[in-house]
Amino acid sequence: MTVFFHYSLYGFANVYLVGNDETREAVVVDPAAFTIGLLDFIEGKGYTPKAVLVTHSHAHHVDGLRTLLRIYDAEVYSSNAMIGEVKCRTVRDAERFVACGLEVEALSVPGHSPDSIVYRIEKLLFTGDALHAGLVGKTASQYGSRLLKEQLSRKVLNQDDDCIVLPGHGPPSTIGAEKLYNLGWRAVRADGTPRY
Amino acid sequence: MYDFIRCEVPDCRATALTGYSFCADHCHDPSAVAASMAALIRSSSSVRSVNASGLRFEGLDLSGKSFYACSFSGTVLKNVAFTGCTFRMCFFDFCSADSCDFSGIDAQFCSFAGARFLNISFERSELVHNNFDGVRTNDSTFNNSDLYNSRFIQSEFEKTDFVDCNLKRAFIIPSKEIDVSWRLSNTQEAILGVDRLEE
Repeated sequence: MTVFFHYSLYGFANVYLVGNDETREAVVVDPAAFTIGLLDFIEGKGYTPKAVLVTHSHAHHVDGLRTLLRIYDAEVYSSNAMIGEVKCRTVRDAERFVACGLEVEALSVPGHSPDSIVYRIEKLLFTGDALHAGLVGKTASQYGSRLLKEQLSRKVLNQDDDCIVLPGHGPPSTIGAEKLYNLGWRAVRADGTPRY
Repeated sequence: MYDFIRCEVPDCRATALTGYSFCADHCHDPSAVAASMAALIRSSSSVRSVNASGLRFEGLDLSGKSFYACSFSGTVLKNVAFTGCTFRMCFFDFCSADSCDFSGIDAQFCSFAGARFLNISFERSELVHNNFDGVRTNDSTFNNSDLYNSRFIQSEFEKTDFVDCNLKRAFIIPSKEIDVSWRLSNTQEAILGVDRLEE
């Protein structure tokens, strides 16, 4: 498995290409605005995108979806049945599936948006906007903030410390670093668990 | 990416070192493994998908090499020269670096979170899109570097200089600053509090 990272200037979002080195097929995670730069990036790596994982349907992360599907025949995985005019293969919490020969687990973490999903491939966590290096995703209400932190605590922070966090914006991190330095857990109970 | 093969010791959840069946904690002779790993790295100008987590490296000159998707997490680095190296998606989190030279490097999309830096130079480097959350620096310098979109959240700086750095979109939210210089750096373009978040 090979992972490539592309920085999209539209919304300063991260796009990932996860290549299966045996089949030469690839999963695209969150196709932001589809530009010549992104096309060159995908073509330059020599993989054929056959699947798209959408962490959430905010424009900064899916704006390139329609154009990408005009070029590549790929199945789109999302917690929504449709994104715009694009029909998706709906994924549910804790569902495991195989995309391009890679085993993927979907973890539902609503809060930043109701449809937020974290995808786990081995020790890689594609967290979208739910979890960034040092920060938790922005939410519209205190209820959303509490819900997001609770979901992250139960489903994401319980992963191994050396799991790699690949967020929708900003630099990468690890679960071990996020447990210690994320501002979202600054208020901590005496037993070490986050206070929401 | 390096292979995520689990260490063979029952109940150990760490990833095995590249070319070995065990993690650094469960290797029979970690210093021999580190020597062999250092030889592997020295033999090539481009190093890909190597997991050297938790090993100790001392007195190495790795100047000018390119590293892609490698992990040096939790390593102990002493007198190691990475001068002019290129790093892409590499992990140095929780490493302890003493008297190492990272000057003139081009590091993008790397994590140094939780690292301890003592007498380290990052001068004249491209440090774009990197994670320095929770780092503790002493007697170190980032002078004349581009820190665009990098993060320094809950970091502790002591006798550390950021002279003439590009801080655009950089998150600078340290928890401790003693004897730190930001002279000639565009601190007004940095994100100094979470209230400025747009994402």
